[in-house]
Amino acid sequence: MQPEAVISLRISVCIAVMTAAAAALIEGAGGGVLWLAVVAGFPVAFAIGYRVRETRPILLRTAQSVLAIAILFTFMGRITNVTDLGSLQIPLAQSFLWLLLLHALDTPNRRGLMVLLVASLVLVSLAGVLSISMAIAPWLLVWGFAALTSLVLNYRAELAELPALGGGAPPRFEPSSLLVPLGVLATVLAVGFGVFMVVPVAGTNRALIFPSQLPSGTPVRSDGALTNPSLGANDPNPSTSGRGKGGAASFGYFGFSNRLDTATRGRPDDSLVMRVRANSPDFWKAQTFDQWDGRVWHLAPEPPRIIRGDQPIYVPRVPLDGPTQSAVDVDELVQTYYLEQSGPNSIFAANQASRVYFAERSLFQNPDGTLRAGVRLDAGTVYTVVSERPLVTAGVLRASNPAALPPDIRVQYAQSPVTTDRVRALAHTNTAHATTAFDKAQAIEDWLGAHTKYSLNIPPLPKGRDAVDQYVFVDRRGFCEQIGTTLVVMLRELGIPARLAVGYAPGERNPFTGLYEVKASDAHAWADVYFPGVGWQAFDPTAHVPLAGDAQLDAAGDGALGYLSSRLHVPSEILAGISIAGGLIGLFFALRSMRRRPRRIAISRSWASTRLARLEALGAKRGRPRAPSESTPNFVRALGTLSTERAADLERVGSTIDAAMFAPVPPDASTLGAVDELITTIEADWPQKGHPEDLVPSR
Amino acid sequence: MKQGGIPRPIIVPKSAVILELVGLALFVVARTTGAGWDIVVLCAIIAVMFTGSLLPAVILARTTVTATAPPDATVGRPFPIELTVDGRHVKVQVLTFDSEWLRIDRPSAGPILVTPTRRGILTRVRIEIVTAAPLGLARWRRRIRVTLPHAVEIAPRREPTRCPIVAGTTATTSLADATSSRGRDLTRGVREYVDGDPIRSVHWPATARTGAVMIREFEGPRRPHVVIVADLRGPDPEGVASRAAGMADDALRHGARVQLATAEVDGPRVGDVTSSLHVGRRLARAVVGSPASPSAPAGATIHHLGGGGHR
Repeated sequence: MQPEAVISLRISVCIAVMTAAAAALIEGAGGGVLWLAVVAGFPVAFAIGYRVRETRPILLRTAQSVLAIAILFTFMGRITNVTDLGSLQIPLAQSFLWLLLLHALDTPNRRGLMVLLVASLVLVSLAGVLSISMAIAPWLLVWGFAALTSLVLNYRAELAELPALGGGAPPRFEPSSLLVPLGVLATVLAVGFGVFMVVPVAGTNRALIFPSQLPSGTPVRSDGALTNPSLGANDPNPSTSGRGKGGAASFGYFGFSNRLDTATRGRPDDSLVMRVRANSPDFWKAQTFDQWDGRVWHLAPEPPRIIRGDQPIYVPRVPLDGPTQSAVDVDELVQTYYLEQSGPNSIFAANQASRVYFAERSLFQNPDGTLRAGVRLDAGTVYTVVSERPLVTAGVLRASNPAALPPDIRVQYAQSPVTTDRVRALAHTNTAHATTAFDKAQAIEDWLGAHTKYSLNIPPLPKGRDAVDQYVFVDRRGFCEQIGTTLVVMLRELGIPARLAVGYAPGERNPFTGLYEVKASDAHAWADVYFPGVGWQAFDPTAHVPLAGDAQLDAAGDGALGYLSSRLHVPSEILAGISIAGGLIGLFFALRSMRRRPRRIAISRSWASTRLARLEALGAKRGRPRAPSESTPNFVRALGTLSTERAADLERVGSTIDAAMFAPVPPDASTLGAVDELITTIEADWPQKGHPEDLVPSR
Repeated sequence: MKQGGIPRPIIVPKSAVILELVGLALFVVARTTGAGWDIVVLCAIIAVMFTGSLLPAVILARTTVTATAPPDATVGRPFPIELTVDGRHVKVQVLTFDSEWLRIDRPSAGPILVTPTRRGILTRVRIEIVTAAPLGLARWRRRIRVTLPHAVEIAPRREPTRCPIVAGTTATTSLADATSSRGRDLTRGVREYVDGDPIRSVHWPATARTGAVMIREFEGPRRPHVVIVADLRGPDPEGVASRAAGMADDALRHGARVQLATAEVDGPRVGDVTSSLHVGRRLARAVVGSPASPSAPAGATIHHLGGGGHR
């Protein structure tokens, strides 16, 4: 392959590589020296690669080899103590970047440049693996444009190796050439969006990499105690550093405490609390409350126990989880939590956690089976939980045998609750026709849905009033705490084990990152109901989380329009229209710049064609057009009859044009120049009026 | 202009294969790590492949080609076909003659040199246009039959063949013709001098005898008459045509009147040929078939080529 001299191609590849490298670095693949290498190193390396494309000095190649070996040894040294695949990512990415920089020095031809372009795609993929936010999107757009431009220029460079029809050098790069990749980019975006709507969602079922990270690791003052700095002065266990002694943060939720007072009104804001990577939505549970006094929920008084382990920490079942279920199939739901704000030290998990990948080697387990960290969980904390979810459906839950209820659970969760008589009566009335625990829970949910309204604006709970009674008979308005509490109280009245769980609703799935974005306002309370033979199941009429057995693997782009719509504040229908229109406009631009007859670029006709056209113009001026099948010599002969003094000149012009068109060896440049002058002279002297009898084209 | 030829994919370049492999790897990575952005990149790759695979077909479908050529050509000698291609970023070749590839950066016109390998009448040429534009990820081709505005008559290659000339009948010529025949003429008789007669034509013996200046009157040279019968029915019709062309040219060079008897599409034909070009055109039209059987004029030499061999 010949040395590649097209500078525009080199520049576009350089931009693509730099953008991809920057995207990887921004997502945490490196910093400092690597940034310098990206910003300054790549342009210099590409420039050197261009300069030495034909000579390829031996000194440079030797230095490349030595440095490549050095990079390899450095990499080997860094991975000596690596135990899991996830820890390989960063050293691998950094070594890869250095190797790319070396390779950029030796790119004599297009193949070398295309190798770099593919390498930039690998870097972009790595950035995609590391990215959990939308910050990468602009980089991807720039990279996409640079990569498409590189492909366009690469093909043109390949074509330019052939001789051109009609002669001439390959066209030089013009800014208007960028219309093609721009148009293609718009088309690719539109088509890609369509593909995005149908490809399967990124999954974690066969996850190889379980990230865990703990930025601070500040221990909680008393082992296993609950701490929640977001509650400020209400933090049940403020740290010694004094943090958390101020006012409650706007995102703090009172449910992440040792008690949950349903009379307390809080309104968490929409700030982002955490991101969760999971391939199915679920309730991200923090803890459960089992003791109800008519107004306040309390945690069980037993202290949590410590559980230890390496990576992962295996989570044992507790008595209150009930016996191990073997009748129902389970699936593994891998959830990776990326905390964006400091919050409670609860380890959030979908029911039921079986192992945890956490940066510490110990955790604390509450009597209800939920988990806590022994350290503060600040922003930047990452941990992964693998839950074993029973694949339940409504049918499975209906088939649950109430007689198999474990005594521990009956004692702890199915005793008659503190409430008013009319609440008890209502529970029995509403479920009179229901035969199974599942149908009874559904019946209560239905009644609540029909007779109460969901509202965050409810009046204060009067002193001494039963919270459930106030909600179902007086206010008839309430939010998750009132609804969940009512469901738990009524089910307990019916002898069905239930408890109030707190945590977060799944949040909105970001279709691009594949992560659920959990806001403070997603803090939630719901009823956990025990089904013998199945285990604990969440019941909640306000958050639509499907049963594990009914959950389906969605397309990656599900909800993409809705997500963009909510972020950009543009109706999704308009976004869909813009997407389609953008694609069509892009296609139009891409094809327009490759159209047959561009408006501003005249057809490059050969010398003979243009000269013949000038003669035709002379004939037309005298009303003697050239017949379609008339040969040049015949035509000039006819023109000679119109201007006898120029007949000989015309004859010479005609024969030269004929020779230029058809002779195996065309006339030389001096002949063509002389004929050009002759045509100009003829045009200047050309008579304006002719003889009508001469003006009939010969056939 | 509507032209035939459906764009067809011909090759998937290496870059496309690499892109597909990277896409596959991305899918595996995304499915095992849950990296949503990799699914986005994968969708972009699929979109690039889709767009890059279809756009070349659209470009080819929109490209038109016209061609003109000189009326005459000879086997083995390059001649230019003037192409006008309305299209961009394609390459073109004249498939009929397996010409070299030329690139088209923009709508352009120009000659492409082709070398015919056999004689005949060329009324249209097959043009192949190929492109992978704009991304170079899939190569498509389109083959078009372009009708020429006028046919190209491709003459056979001249095989040097001597034509045995046999003198034929005397043909009387004018005095002017006779005087230009440079001494090869025969004196037919004498007459009296008239103004303008060249002095070198004075017939001195007769002048002496008659006492008046007598001028020789010449008769023209004896012009041979050759009839060449090109019978292409044998095993080597092209060779026969080449030899016939060479022989006719040789005869014409020697001033003979040459008639060619051939078979054409419309039937046997015999007729005079007056120039090498004319010979080529006649033989270009000749087809395998029974040639005309010329009634041999007195003094004419008939040469049979082909069929049963040179007689």
